[in-house]
Amino acid sequence: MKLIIEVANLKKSYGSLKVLNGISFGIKKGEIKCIIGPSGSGKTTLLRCLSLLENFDEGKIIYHGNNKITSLSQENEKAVARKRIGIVFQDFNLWPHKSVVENVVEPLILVGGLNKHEATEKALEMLKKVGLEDKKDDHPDFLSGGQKQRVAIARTLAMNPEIILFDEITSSLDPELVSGILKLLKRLALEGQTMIIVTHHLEFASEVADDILFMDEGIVIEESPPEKIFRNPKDHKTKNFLKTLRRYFQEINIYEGTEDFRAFNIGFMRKIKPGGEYYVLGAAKEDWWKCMGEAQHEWHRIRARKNIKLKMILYELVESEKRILEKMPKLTEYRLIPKNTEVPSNVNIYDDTILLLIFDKKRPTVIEIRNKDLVKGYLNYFNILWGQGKQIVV
Amino acid sequence: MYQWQWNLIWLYRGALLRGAWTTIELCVLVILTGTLLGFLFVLLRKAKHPLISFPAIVLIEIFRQVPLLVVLVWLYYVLPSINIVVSGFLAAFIGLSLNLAAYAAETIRAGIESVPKGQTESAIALGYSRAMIMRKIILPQAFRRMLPNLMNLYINQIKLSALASVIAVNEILHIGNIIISRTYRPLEVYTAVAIMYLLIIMPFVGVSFFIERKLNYEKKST
Repeated sequence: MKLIIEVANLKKSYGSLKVLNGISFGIKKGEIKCIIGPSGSGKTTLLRCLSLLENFDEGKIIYHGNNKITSLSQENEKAVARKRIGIVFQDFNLWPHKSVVENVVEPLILVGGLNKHEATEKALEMLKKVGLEDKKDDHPDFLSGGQKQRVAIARTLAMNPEIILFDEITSSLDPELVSGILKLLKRLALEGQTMIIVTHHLEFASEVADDILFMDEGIVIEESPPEKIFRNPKDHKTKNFLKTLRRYFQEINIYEGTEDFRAFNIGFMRKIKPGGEYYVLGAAKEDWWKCMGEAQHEWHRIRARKNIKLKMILYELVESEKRILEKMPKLTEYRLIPKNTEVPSNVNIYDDTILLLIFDKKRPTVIEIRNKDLVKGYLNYFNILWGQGKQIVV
Repeated sequence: MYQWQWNLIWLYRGALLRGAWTTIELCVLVILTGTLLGFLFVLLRKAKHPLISFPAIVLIEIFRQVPLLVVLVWLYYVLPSINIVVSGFLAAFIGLSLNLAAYAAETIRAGIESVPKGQTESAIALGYSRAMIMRKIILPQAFRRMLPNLMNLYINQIKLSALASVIAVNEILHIGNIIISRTYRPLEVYTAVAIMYLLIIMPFVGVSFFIERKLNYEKKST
């Protein structure tokens, strides 16, 4: 396979602060490299240098391709190199005065040289790919973080770059939106897109990456395939970093449901671990309960086998939901709380308690948390959403 | 008891209207030129080379710190002494334009800098040229943000154009003064002059109200 980018001994400092301390690596066509490392290790700076947003002090970046670009001193060579690289930022950086589709169309016309018709066609194709066709005429301000990031990805993809750099693109997203974006990246990986991904999601990294680069203090400490770096890290720094990151991520599991509520319910019931007490917080939502009703045999079976106590604290209940609940008295023990109360303080959060929140969307999302502090954080987030009048379910 | 003689205004309506026309002509030219010069000042000021940016800063500061009246008089009386002859209208046009440009430059610069850097960076990464970024990303957003301020500057500049009467430009106030020297009727004439300024400026105020309301509405709806 041919190399696309080669980095040799790259160094950069801001004043006396050395950010990059001699980075060397190469990436071939179709390869996916994930970069992990603590914050301040120079991951973002490296990507900014690769995408020519930042100058570097020493070393070399060579852009291979039809014609090799080595000297980046000239503006026109930079411009050619830039066309081969795409970058997606943590903060999306969409243009708020343009609609979603215009955000994607304009670079295709101005830089790609397409005419308006071709560009629009291409843009719509890309928006379809990221699942945002129906939002094409909205303005970015009206989109959620996840949707904005999808637009940013579509905008970059549309330019057909040989390689795309992703700079912690899920870091500024609400937790329940992350898995959707990661899924999209996985799809791109399957399509053979060459990518460099800076991420904190180890599970994701181990699934998609050909190689994982662990960076610390401006150097690549280890570069190996995921199975090697996770099972048997060479360096003690890598080991320690992986340990802290794992501890954090094992405490949160996020399941993204499908529009098929029934399948979703059963799927998540199977994930429930025996012996615990479960609390479900939120306002009840009709569809969800209907599916609970449909899936109640499954529930009974799982409950009997796993000995689960399911206690529910519900905010507001509509009539039809009440009927469903009355039909299955053995299933749950529930208590109603007026809609505007604070999250109940009498919810005991034991170490084995898993808190489930399901948000009102077409695709419900369950967030399973096993850490008291994190639970508190989520409850706050939950309350904030509520305060804004967004509807939250179950 | 003072005897108002409003028929006098009617008698001199032709001269007054010509004065109003001169004021409008002068102000339209000043607003267009001043705004363009303002953009130019910003470009020069933001230039990386100090040999370009420094003179721009000096020029802006001169026009912000020297009273406009002094500038006008200087242009009108001092330039001819070094063999550059300017008419009153030309001197007023130059002085008012540069004065507006100096103030507009600050407003324009603030507007341009209010567009987050990330938006420029994503454009650079997509391959946009500097000019494309200015035209397609920065200016459309900056323009909306600086419009209310620019409107205020324009209104102010129309009012300041009355200073041109000092260097014998036949605009409203100067015409008014001439009429007064013939009729000795300052109360009627100055009242008429004031009303004419009001009528000229009113559309600008209306537009600026409209813009502000629109911007507020958009802020609320997002």
